[in-house]
Amino acid sequence: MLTTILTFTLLLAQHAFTPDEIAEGGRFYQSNCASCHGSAGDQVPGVALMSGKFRRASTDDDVARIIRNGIPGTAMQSFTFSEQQAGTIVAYLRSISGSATPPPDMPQLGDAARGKAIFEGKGQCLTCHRVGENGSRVGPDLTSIGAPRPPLVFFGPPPPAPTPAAIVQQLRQSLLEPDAEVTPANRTFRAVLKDGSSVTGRLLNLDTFAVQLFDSRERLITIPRTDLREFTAVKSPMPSYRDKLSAQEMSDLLAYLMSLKGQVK
Amino acid sequence: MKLRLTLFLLLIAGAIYGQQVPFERILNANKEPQNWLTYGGTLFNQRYSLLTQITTDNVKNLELQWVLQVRAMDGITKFEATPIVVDGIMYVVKPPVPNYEVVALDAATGRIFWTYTYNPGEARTCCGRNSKGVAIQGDRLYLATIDAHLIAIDTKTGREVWNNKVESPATGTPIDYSFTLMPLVVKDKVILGPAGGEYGVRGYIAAFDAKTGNEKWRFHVIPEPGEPGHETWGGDSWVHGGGSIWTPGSYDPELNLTYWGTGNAGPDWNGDPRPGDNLYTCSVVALDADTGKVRWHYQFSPHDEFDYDSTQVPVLADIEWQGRPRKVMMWANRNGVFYVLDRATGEFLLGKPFVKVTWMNGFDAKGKPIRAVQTSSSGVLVYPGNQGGTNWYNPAFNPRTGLFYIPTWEDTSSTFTKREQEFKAGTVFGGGGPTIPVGLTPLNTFTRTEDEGYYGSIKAVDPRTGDIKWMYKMAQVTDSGVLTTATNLVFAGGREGYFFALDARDGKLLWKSMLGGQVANGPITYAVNGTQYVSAAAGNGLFTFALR
Repeated sequence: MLTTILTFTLLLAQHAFTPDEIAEGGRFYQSNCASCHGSAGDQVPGVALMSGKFRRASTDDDVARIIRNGIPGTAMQSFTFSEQQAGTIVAYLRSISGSATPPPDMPQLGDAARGKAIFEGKGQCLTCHRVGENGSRVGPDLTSIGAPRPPLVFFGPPPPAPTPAAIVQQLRQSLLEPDAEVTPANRTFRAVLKDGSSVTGRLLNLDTFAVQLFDSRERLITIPRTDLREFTAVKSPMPSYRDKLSAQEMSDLLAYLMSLKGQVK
Repeated sequence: MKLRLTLFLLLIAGAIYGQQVPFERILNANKEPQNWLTYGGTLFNQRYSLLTQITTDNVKNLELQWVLQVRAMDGITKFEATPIVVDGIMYVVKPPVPNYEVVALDAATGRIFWTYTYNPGEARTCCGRNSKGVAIQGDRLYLATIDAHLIAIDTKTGREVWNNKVESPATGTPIDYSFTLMPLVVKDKVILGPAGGEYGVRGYIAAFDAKTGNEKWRFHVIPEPGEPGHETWGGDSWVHGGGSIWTPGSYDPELNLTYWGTGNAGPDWNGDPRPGDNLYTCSVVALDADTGKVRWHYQFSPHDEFDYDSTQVPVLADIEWQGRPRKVMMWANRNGVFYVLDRATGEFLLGKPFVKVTWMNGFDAKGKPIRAVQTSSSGVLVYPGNQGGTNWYNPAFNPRTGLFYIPTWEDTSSTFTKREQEFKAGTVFGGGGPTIPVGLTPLNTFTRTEDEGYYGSIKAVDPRTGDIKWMYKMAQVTDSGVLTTATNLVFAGGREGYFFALDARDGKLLWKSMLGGQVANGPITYAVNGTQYVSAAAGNGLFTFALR
């Protein structure tokens, strides 16, 4: 990653930022921008900040100007960053998108169009997942699953954003061993109530007095803790595709998933 | 008798010249519990109120009276200001996003009399454009700003009386020095210090003439060559030594000492370039209030490499200690240890962890902690985590229950990794970094269960033993301060957005209200025309309650 950043830094003709400055830009981003744009820059519909492409800006200076001035008439407010600080944020976004260039260790993937057919057909992925406006909301939304997601960092140098090869590896693992690694926001919990009934769903929120779930019927449910008898994390409902897809089908499916970068119309 | 006469004359003089709050009123703030005159209620910072209208029996009848809205904030700034209340008028400052707005409002209705606006210049803050409040003395409010200005404002009109840029040491860049604290007024001086511990600043505590704003004395948190304590810094490391100030100090009028907690050493996470204990970082210093000379110090975290700022509010009390009265200072430190010190001498009396602690393993005969872990470039897991067992959020002490109340982060850890880093002005001077599973930015939803570590609590500690008497457990962590009352109540909140009341004797939940944003200031209580109010800031609002 450091090599990537250094290489990228050298490519920036107009502004050169050191790794420390880019790290600081990442901290500025995660603490000021992520609340609306998301840590991966893809939470605002139609905007993918870490794709390297900006709808309203063509140069780094344009992006920095938008950060400092906002966009009138939209939810994009102005921020009181200096030019230098705004520049480090742009450099951070560029450093992430720069890492999207396929490195030598990127495995050769199959055909994305065939992968899409498997995703929507044989794989039955839309039964639980959603891409754009298609599919179920029960499982994690996969609209931007192929985009790099930098870890949240507030101080110090950010850990390397995952490379495309690493994302492929994670996706492959999720398809083969769905329970191996589940992010906290995607975990399934089973609530057994004192009256003996039970609810299973994705945990959306939990505080001192209640838990909130999204169940398999796409219902938003609040359960007071005083009504709970048990509340435990359970296995992911996602099936393993280990023996269900051929090597070529798996490669095609991965190619399709890697093409999903939050820009689906 | 002579003292009483002097006091009477001073009060008369104050009235004649329109001085709303002469220092004598602040000195005796516990005699007028209907007002809230300092950050912690009095100069002892106990955040303890003698008001008795709201009790454990009727607190369930609290209802919202009014809300003060602030401009929608950015992702990291929080509403941290403690309001000041004087004779029915509340003074509070809205966070500078982008402008400071100091308002005077009717404390019973929330209606605003006037607003003072100040647009700070360029500023570099690590953790939001925060302000912990304005101080009052005479007929002036004192606002310390993130662009290192000290501003005096007329309490009656909101007019700016003077606005002085405070000189910063010639290390780093000037915008690295920011004021986020409520200043402390002692006699005729306004005392403050700068934040900026992540940018290689050289911390200080300075006193300014309350009338003119002229600087009267300055204490260097990082001693320069020739000053005592300089020998605890190797080479030139003192130049960017850190030692920032985020919270106001306390004051003991009998000893004429003002006490201040200091921040981490720089660089934060790699101590190799700064061999030695690194005085006076991560310490409490007792300063002569007239001269700024250090009378004693105690260093909570020598040679810190875990960001364990001691930027907590010193809480003073006169308690019975081992059978005799003693003037003590109580301190729940970010490093996870609860301390009791003799505030006349600095003598270490007690130190006991209040959360899981692995960085130290007890104390030597002089009360210096015995470090138990070493940092490395490959990372080391340490409890408590980087955000500490608590942080700047104010604790409270209740003389009636004899208990000290701490907002805590339970079961937290970080993996600390150090690395070499050259100082470069204007950038983070960290020397590595920690993992922070729970970020600085409050989230609206939470998917981590308390069984997985990282949850919050309000803990009651007996200062005579350090034993934990009770714990009120929250599912999520808290940045809220604590308020306690003579009617055995504890008020606090957390990141979940609840503001609640507990029984100060056993921690039982008595009342709660969902305010929709994290509570991040210290709640206060006051009275107007015989009605007691309780105020807490949460999210983008200040919410004030009274009995229905």
